[in-house]
Amino acid sequence: MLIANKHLMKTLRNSYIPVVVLIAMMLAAACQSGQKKSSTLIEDVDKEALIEDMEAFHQVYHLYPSPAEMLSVIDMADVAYDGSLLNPTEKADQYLDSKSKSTILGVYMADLAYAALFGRHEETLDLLETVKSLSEEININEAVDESMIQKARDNVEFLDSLYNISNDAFMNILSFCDRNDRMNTVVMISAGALTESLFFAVNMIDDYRTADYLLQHLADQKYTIDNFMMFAGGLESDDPMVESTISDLNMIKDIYDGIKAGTGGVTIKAANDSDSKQPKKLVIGGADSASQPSLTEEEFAALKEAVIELRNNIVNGNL
Amino acid sequence: MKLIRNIQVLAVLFLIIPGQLKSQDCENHHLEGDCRFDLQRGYKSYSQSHSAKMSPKDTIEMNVIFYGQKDYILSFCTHRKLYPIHFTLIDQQTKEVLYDNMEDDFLESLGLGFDVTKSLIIKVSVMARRSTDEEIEENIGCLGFLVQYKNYEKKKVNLQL
Repeated sequence: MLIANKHLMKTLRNSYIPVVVLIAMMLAAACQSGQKKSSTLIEDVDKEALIEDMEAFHQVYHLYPSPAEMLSVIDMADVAYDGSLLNPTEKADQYLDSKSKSTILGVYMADLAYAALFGRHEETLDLLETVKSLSEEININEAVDESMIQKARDNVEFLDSLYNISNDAFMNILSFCDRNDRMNTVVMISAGALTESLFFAVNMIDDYRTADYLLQHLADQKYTIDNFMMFAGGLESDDPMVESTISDLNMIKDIYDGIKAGTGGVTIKAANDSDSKQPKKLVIGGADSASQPSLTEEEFAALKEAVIELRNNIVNGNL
Repeated sequence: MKLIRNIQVLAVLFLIIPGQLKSQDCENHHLEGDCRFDLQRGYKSYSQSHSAKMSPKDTIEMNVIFYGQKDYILSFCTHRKLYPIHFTLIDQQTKEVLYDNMEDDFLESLGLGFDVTKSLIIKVSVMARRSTDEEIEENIGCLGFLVQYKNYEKKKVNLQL
């Protein structure tokens, strides 16, 4: 037994050595990459000249928030849930062509975010199933799979979790399309999501005179529309569906282009944060009341009409 | 003999790893790179987080929308050979430079509180001070830009400062 143990020990010791070496090397690698590097200057003299000689690329990315992030700005405690604003999930199989399917997927993603933000369990799960099914139809099914739906089912009681799942679904779809060179699909999905999010926002405002906060949120979407249109317009795609999607949103873009943009001035100051573990913090504010975009009553009415018209055209398959 | 062969295989594997700098997929670098060490409890990941491939000569500009009444943490990360990272925050509307991390020795994480909604241009480049000349010529690395956010603790009454 002792001999056997000795032999076993030797065998084990021998087999441990490469493992120990591997672990040591992995630890060394982890130590190298596990911490952010200091900006210590080693030597820069020739390096700048070398960098100058290399071919330079200037990449520009126009980014915009997900529907959940757009809607989460609205304090849901101040507004009531209105299920009639959602596009019924029973209509999901009525959309036949690729553009309609992609755009309506965006609409349902915004509906999903809306239901999740209000903690509507049944509607959220129903919409997630619809999103999964439409994703399969346009061959982006890897982005929203059964595990995501199961996760939603398991966490249906947690408001934050539903919000995160709705947001993850949108980000997964964008990421999947990006990875598979399907940016034209991103344009159509985002257009649907953006339109539906604006549809919710305009319908939350009953009275222009008492809707300061919501109106400001709506006016601020000028930035979102601008970034989205710059992204879509910069794709260099000759896909007619992308061109027609841009054209569909032009009426809304024109209204936003016409509103008072604000001076854009800011104040910037260091925050008084006593927690030294937190990174340095700055606070950015508007310089004055004229620094932000704003909507007049007429502009609001025109925007509301244009958003409702476009949204109804999307959900009725008229585009 | 077996042990020596094992070590040789491991050594070869480790020699191959730096090659990933050239061929890696950068898609999730903001979640998988050094940026992940900045993940904070209580904050959510912002969908405008982004990753891209870049070389020391390249410049990346990201137009990002920050909603008001929220705290954000911006984190930048890249391959160890490409540090330090240089970034500036520019008001998209006025083109005024609001912040340049050069003034803070190229810090890689910055907290930002937005009282009002703003669209910023974030201009980023990598300086590759730790690379050899050959590495600078050959390597394209990933840049990760992680944005986390949370709502202000209490809604501030005065939206305009």
